[in-house]
Amino acid sequence: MASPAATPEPSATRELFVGMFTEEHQILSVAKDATDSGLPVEDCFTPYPVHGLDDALGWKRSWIPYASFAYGCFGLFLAISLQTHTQFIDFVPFWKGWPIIIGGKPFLPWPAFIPVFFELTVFCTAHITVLTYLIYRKKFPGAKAKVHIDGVTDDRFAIALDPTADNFDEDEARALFARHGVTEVLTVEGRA
Amino acid sequence: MGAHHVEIPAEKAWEMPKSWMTTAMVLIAVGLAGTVYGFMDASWRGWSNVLIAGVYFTGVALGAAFQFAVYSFVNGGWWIGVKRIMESFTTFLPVGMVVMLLIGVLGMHDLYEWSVPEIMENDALLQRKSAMLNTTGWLVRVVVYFSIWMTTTFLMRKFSRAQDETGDAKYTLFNVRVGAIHTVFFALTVTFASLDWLSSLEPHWFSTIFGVYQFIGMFVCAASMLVLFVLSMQKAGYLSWITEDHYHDLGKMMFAFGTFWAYIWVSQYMLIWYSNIPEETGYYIVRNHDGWLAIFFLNLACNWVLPFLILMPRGNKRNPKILALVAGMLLFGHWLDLYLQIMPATSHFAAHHHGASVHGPFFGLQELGPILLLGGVFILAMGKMLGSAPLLARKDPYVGEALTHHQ
Repeated sequence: MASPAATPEPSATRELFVGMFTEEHQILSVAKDATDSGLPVEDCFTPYPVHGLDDALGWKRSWIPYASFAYGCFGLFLAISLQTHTQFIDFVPFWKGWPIIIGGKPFLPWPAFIPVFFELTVFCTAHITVLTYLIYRKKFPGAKAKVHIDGVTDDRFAIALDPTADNFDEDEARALFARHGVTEVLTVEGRA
Repeated sequence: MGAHHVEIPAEKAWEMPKSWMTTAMVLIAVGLAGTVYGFMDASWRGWSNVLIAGVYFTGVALGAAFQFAVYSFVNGGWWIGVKRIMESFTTFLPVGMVVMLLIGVLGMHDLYEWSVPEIMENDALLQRKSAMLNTTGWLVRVVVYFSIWMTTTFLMRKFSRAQDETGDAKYTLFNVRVGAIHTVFFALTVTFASLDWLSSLEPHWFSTIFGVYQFIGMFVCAASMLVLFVLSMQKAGYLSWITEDHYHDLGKMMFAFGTFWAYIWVSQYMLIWYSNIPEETGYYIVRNHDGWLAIFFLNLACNWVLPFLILMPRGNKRNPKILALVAGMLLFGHWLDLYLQIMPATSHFAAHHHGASVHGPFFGLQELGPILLLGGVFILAMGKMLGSAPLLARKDPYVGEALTHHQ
């Protein structure tokens, strides 16, 4: 038996102990109870994002919003430097901008810069955040699904336990699933 | 969250807290004194402040009605816990109508230059606009706007309350329809109302985005007022079902639509600045000189920069103290926004035609008067209305979703 802390081989497949449910509130309460009673919950699979599931699983909040804020600041910085440089800086050798009089406005017309500030901030925040997520979760185009459970992209809610973990107790897990109205208990091959 | 049972919390019957009564009485007393003092000081100043206050609180009521309508027809669930408070905001509309009619009957010549016949006679540009800019039309339109708003909000309140009796889902569907109809009429009426009441203070000037700008100010005011009243009612021991997750959503409304306000502000300012057409730039030139510039920037800081930065972190949207701070800032900011739209226009009009000597911004008891007076009336009106129905619409089909709402 592998210890739960050990990182499995990237390509190794192993079994997951899966309970299937039909209602959103069932998956929320079973996730909470399984986590509270110390069962080795691997993940939950739902057809749509279920609010409160990460709290029920006791997961910490993602760091990605903070990264997004940094990307936004970067985008704003990019927009400021792009516009001030091209429109104003004419005195740095080898790094000259190209100041042009447009509509009789001054060379640093801040109201005219605002749309570009906005666009580049949003552009950088959105795109780099998505890229960060895809890289962090290893969801590149063409990546294979780690686990395939029938129905979780349709109308089923699944909770997966790690049966190889030390704290896994099949009887306890089955009893807990049954208490929350499980429709089916499966064993599914998955890549960790 | 679906069909499983959700426990509806026990609920205290609403009785207006003593602190509300005291606050309202103090506001009305100070407000009356300030209003009287304002009219004794100069009638244009008195009427300008009555106009600010009337538009401000009518805006809060309309912002709440609009949110009620939109949340209804998009089948929103999270807001059912605060639905009754939003309903009660709309009871201010009749008061707003009285205030606007008073202005129309007694105060026109102090505010609107087009209402003075001698000015109209000598101004070819204004004569071309006289089909819209005449006192009779103005008064008729006030009645039309308020009749539409009061009818639709009355229906929305009625259906919402009828559901408390039977729990029939058809009332939710009725409100989907009334909400959609209200929204269409609201878009038109709020545009024309803002042209009538505010934009025509400077009748030579025009801005095609002006109605949207007023509308979003109303929306933000209503969202901020909602936060303050929710927190105040919770302090008095009501609304036990409102949790951090609801705070989060209320905070998001202020955050998102405060930012939308800034977007519209820039859209108006930047295009006028860029095209640099004298008929349009006059509006901003006045507001960038004689000390108005400080208010011009304070307006931006209170209404967008500070709320945007403060409300960005998740924790701040879930913290009642910070929410109250930002709500207060936005409410002050939108008063300032109206002040900056109305006062430069009316004080210049007064200086040119009534011989008043005013340069730049001014602030005194005269400015506090009407806004505090109507604030007190607002608290009394909504406090009374809250008592006319249970605080929780417990038979709404979405009440389970609202009570178990989770971010």
